[in-house]
Parts: sequence; C-alpha cells; structure tokens
Amino acid sequence: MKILVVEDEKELLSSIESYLKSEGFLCETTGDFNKALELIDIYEFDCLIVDLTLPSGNGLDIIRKLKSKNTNTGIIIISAKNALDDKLLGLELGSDDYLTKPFYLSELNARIKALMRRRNFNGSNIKIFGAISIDLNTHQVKIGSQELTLTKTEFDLLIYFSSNRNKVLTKEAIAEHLWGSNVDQADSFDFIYSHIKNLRKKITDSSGIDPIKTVYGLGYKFINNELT
Amino acid sequence: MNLLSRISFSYIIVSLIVLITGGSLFFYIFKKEIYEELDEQMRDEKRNIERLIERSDTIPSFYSCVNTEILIFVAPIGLRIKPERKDTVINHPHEGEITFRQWRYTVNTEGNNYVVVIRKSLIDLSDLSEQILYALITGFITLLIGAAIVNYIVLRVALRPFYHTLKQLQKYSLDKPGNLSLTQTNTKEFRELNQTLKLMTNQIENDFQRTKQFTENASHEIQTPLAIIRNKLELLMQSNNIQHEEASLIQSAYEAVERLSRLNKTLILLTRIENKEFSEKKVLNFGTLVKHLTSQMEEKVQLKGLKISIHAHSDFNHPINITLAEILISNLLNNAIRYTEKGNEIRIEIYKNRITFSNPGLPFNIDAEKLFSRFFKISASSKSLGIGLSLARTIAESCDLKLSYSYQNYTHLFSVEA
Repeated sequence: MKILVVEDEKELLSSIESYLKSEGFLCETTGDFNKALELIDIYEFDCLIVDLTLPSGNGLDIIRKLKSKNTNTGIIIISAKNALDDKLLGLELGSDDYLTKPFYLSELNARIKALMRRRNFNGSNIKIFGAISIDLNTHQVKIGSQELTLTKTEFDLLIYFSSNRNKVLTKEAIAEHLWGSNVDQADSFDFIYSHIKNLRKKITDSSGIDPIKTVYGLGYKFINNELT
Repeated sequence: MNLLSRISFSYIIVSLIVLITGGSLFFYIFKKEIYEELDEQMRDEKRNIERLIERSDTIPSFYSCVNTEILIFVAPIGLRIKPERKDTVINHPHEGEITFRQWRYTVNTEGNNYVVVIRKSLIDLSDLSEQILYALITGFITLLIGAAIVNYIVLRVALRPFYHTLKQLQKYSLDKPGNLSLTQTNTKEFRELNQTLKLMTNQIENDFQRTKQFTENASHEIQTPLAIIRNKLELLMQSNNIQHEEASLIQSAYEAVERLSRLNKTLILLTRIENKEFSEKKVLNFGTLVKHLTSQMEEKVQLKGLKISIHAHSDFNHPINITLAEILISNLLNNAIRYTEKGNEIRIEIYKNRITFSNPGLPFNIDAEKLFSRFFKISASSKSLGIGLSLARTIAESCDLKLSYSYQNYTHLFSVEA
C-alpha cells in the first residue's frame, strides 16, 4: 500500500512517516508543493495525506490536480485550521476525510485503514485478523464460530484496536476517537476504562485469551498474536 | 435631571430671585415717590390755609372734592395738638372704607385757635399700585417664560455636539472598532472633547487589536510544536524496550502535552468566537438539541449511575450558531454530570425563553460569578482545565443569551436565558 504524505513541517512529517512505515505502508514524503505535484504525476498512490497550508502553494490545488488524473487515490486532509469552509471545500473537491492538527498518529492510521477498507470494498466487508472476524456491514463480531455481542462503543473500540494492532494507544487518543475532540476528556477516562474492561471480558470469555494489554500507565495495546 | 433641564431650572430660579427682588424694590421706590408727592401737595395746601387764616382770622370756605377733604374747626385757646401725619381709614357712605393720608395740626392766630385736618384719598394710589403690580407680574412672567424658552432652545443647539458624542459613546463597542463617528463642531470645548475621545479610543483599539493578535498568533504557533511533541511521544511509546520508570516519565510528559493542547485548543476557540468567526446563525430548537446531546451522553450517564430527565414546558427557539450551541449545551451537560453524585438526578427544564440544568449537590461557598472566570477551579487537584464554563459564557454572550448560576435547596442551577 503506497501513501504520499505532503506536510511542510519536517518533524511532523518524519513522525507520520515513521508510524505509517511501522504499520507496513510504503511512504513517500515531501514538504514541497511542486515536488508533490511531480510525484502525483509520476506515481500512482493508494492514499494521499496532504496539509492545506504549504509554503509554496495550497494543498487544495494538489487535490484538484490529483482528481483531474482520475485516479482511485484516497485523500485525507490534515490541517491546522479547523475552518468549516476548508473542510467543506476539501470534501467537495473529492477528499475523503479531514483531520485537524494536532492529531494522534493512531487516529491518522485508523482513518487511513478505514478509508482503504471503503476503497477496497468488494461485496463482503469482513475484516479478519487472527481468530477474530468483524463484519463491518452488519457489525457482527465472531471469535472462531462464537458470536460476540458488543455495544456500539465496544465495537468502535475493537475496530480502533484492530487498526492499531501492537501499538500503544493512550486513553486520550481513544477518548478522542470515540467521542470527538470537543468532549472534555478529564471525565472520559473512567468510561474508557469500563468499556475496555467489558470488551476484554467478552473476548476472554469466548476465547480464553486476553488480547488487550495494559502498558504501564501509558495506555493499552492490542496483541492478537495469541489469538491465531 | 438631565443637563438641559438642570441648566434651565437654575436659570429660572435665578431669574425669579432677580425679578422678585427687582420688582419689590421698584414697587417700594414707586410708593415712596407717590407719598412724597402727596406730602408735597398737602404742604402747599397747608401753607395756603395758614395764609388764609392769618389774613382773615376766620374759617375760610373750601370746596372739598372726592380726593381731598379739608376740615377746619375752631378750638379752645390753649388746646395744643401735636401735629401728626398718618394713614387713616374712613368709612365713606357711598364708597365704603377708604384709606386717606391725613395731616392734623393747629393754627394759632392772635385771637383764635384752629384745628386743621387735611385728608387726601389714597384710593387712586392703591388702584395705581395694583395696576402697576399686575403689569409688573405679567411682564415678568412673560419675560421669564420667553427667556426660558429661548434659553432652552439656545442650549439645545449649543449642546447638540455633546449629546451626539454621548450617543456615539453609548453605541461604541470594541467589537466594532472604528465606528465612533464624531461630528465637527465649532465649540472649542466640544472639539477638544471629541479629539481626546478619538485619540483615546484609537489607543484602546490598537491595544485591543494587539492583544487579540498576540493571543491568536501565540495559540496558532504553539499548535505545531505541540503536535510534534505529542507525536514523538506516541512514537516513543511504541518502543519495545521501555521499562516502567521510563514509561512513567513518558506518561507525565504526554499528559502535560495533552493538557496544554486542550488548553490551547480552547483558547483558539475562544479567540475565534471573539473574532466573530461563528457569525452564521440559525433559529435552533433547544429541546431537540438537548435530546440529541443527552442521548449521546447516555452511556456516560449510565456508567456513573445518574439519571437525566428532560421537562419541556414549551419550545425554546433562538437564533444561534449550531457549532457553538452544541459546545454550550454539552459543556453544561458535562459539568452537571461531573458534579452530580451517583444515584442523583439531573433535571433539564425547557421554558419559552429559558433552559435550566439543575443537579443536587453541596454548596460551593464561592461567588457565583467566579465560576465563569477563566481558569477558575473548585479544587486545585481537579483534572478539569477550569475553562469550560468560561467558554460557555463567552458563547452565550456572543449569541445574546444570558448564562447564570444559582444555588437553592441543595441544588445547583445553571440557566441559559434569551
């Protein structure tokens, strides 16, 4: 899976690159507007991650150029401006998602994977990892042949974990993923804790294995190697 | 009392005093003149009578008229009457009581003693003074009213620039800089006043703009480094050989960054509200919004063992920006959820132009207004940023709503009122 990341802030760019590479993506990166146009011209990408405010041009123009090529590239805008106009214009031009800075790398990763799933949708939309299979259309979750009954939040949580397997997810990132960034997080953590407890219990009850590890005080890690 | 009536009032009072004093003085002098004139006439008559008596040593015959009465009697020799001049009232058969000026004295000749009484009617004088008094009063009143009106009109015209400036100042708001339009005037003081005001407001506007610009720039510039720190820490966490000690260091740093970025986000939001970036408003039904938001928080509410009840007594519709309305209501809801003890109920009541959130709890013992100040926290250890209610109030104000707090019967009550 090939991804082009266009971001002029060098350190942000390298963080994104590093996270995505560890997820097994092939990453092309640039901070330059013209270089980005050039890369789009030459190569075919599965996904474009683009910052709107670039020193030498507007990210929206890169999206326009890409769309004129009529490719099937998924587009995610990352912008420091949480301006509704930009968001709407971006979506109108054909971008698939919009992420406001600062964002969590795990969130970006989850968005890319969700986008890829939608793009590569072919009849059945079942995601299988290890012994767990998730039907994204019917929201049905199975471990082996045994069905799990999950609440909506638990389901979202599982999808988020499954997109970021073997990664430490902080409770802050989980809170924002589940409830959005406007929620005052201070009291969300207790709820995350109980949701994770419930999800963990449901998986353990049907498989005997607990895939959700607590990593010191940092957060949670979903390891499903043992579930194979 | 406004300036115009105050000046007019003082003017009328001073005029009254001057006119009354002047009038009385005039009247007094006038009366004195008349008496002197009368006395002069009577002195002439006295000389005349004395001459006549001395010449013939008999009572001369006189004709009396309405105005003047002269009486001469023969008196026993040796009777001395002290000459006197006085006002006396005499009952006249036709005319009723008439006041006379009366002189009485004795005239001695060689053989006889005569008492002479000269009376001059004061009826004309009193008629005259009455007339004059009326004329005076009418004149004075006309003068007073006329002058007061003229004075009022002149003042009004003269003070017009002042009132214009005052009106402009009342309308003035820092949100709309440069809208202070002061008119040209020829009055020196008002010209100076306007110039000073112009200078002052320019200075204030500049300072305000600079402060706003600074907050705006600072928050935006902080954004990127914050994002970098957060993402680097995220990457660092993924490292496989972290020990417990390092993990707790990373965690502390991460939490601090989270806190800072939430704070920054809120500050940016506040700046954007103050910059009127959310000016697009739509009439919103608060009942619908509240139902929508509470259903989103249902999980949270259940987990905490609370109950939320919505009592809609009427529809509450108000023009507001949708994004801001959501932040406002969810901040109040979150606040209520946070400070309600397990097992208690949060009551939401919707009236025609008001929505209230109430929950039982112990009193805060602090000034209600303090709750809405930025970075105020009930307890220092609280994880909250202390900015949620301040944000809610800024939103409310930007949408012409009034957000207030009260405590009654062990119940905290927040009210949003149109």
